[in-house]
Amino acid sequence: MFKLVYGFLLALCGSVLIHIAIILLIPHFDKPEVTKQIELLSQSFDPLIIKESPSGFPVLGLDPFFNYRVCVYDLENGGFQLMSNGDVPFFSATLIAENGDVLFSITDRQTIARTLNIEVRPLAQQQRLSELSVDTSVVSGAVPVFVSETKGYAIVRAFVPDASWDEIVGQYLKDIVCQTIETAN
Amino acid sequence: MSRAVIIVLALIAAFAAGTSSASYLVSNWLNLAGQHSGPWQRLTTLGATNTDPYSRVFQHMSRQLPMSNAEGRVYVARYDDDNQPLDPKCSYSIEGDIPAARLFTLRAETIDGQLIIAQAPFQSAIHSDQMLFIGTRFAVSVSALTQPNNWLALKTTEPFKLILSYYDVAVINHDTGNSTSLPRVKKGSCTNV
Repeated sequence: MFKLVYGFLLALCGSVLIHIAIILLIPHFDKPEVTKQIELLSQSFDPLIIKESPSGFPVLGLDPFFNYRVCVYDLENGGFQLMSNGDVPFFSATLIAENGDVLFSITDRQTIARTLNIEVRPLAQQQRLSELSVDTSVVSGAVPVFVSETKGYAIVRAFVPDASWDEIVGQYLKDIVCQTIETAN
Repeated sequence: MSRAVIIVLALIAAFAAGTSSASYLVSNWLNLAGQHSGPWQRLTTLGATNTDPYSRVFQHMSRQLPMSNAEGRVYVARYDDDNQPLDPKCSYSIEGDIPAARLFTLRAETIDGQLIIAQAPFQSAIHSDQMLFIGTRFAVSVSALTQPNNWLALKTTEPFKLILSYYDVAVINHDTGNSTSLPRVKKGSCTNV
């Protein structure tokens, strides 16, 4: 009887420990599924345009009335700029860290003249730039964003009300600039 | 039974119980921890930097692009107002007040998240700029049969879910989303075809 109670308690404690270990360790040892899929499809700063969610496409939950532009970034060697110019009914942009955390987002109504222009730099540069008294927004007119995670991806979502907007939105997403910017010296 | 056998059996049981309980909780996390408003569910912690470990694993396993609260909100309905699973043989009416959002879309997906694509020219998705409104309210018929006014053509034989996405929502500080009005999902007639 004692052995059975002992075995039961061992199994109970063991299952709790395994449960906690699984929940806590998965995010540490593996990238989120969506990040892996996006990185498979696109190299850093290469354009990736997702028009819709065809069957078998690895990313799910895409709104059929939106087209998407994804830009994988790596801030190891400095910052990057995300810039668009054009007129679409609605757009929003999000910066997502490699671990899936949303770092920053903006919609067209929050931008100046409905133009997307953000400069993303590693947090470590913030102090350096303030020491140099450089105001990046004054220099480039861009919204400065400092992030602690150096790897991730940006998504620009653009609304396509109907088929007549396909070409305009497609061109808008194609023209989005996603490029590295010089590191502050 | 020797002590060694009991330890081995206990460890096997611990592994099975630990993995299955973690798997169950994560796969049902939207039901367990999601914000509920009628039949609509939404996980408010997705993408947040300070999210709880279960939401983080749920997000980790998900193949969906995250969206921030400032951009919009995505609600999922797998059941109707009477808590019955959505049945493709039945018609549903999605009725509610126009939300405080710049635009909203409604689409039907299979339970595993694939968009249901109706045969052209019909659509299994509709957005607010295409809709006819009645004063400050809207109603969308979700049905395999042709419907007047706003119709979401449901061309599937599989169980399905509805995804309601609000974009550019009026954000109020500390708003948990409860202030956003969500439509009802009323079941109509069913066919045996």
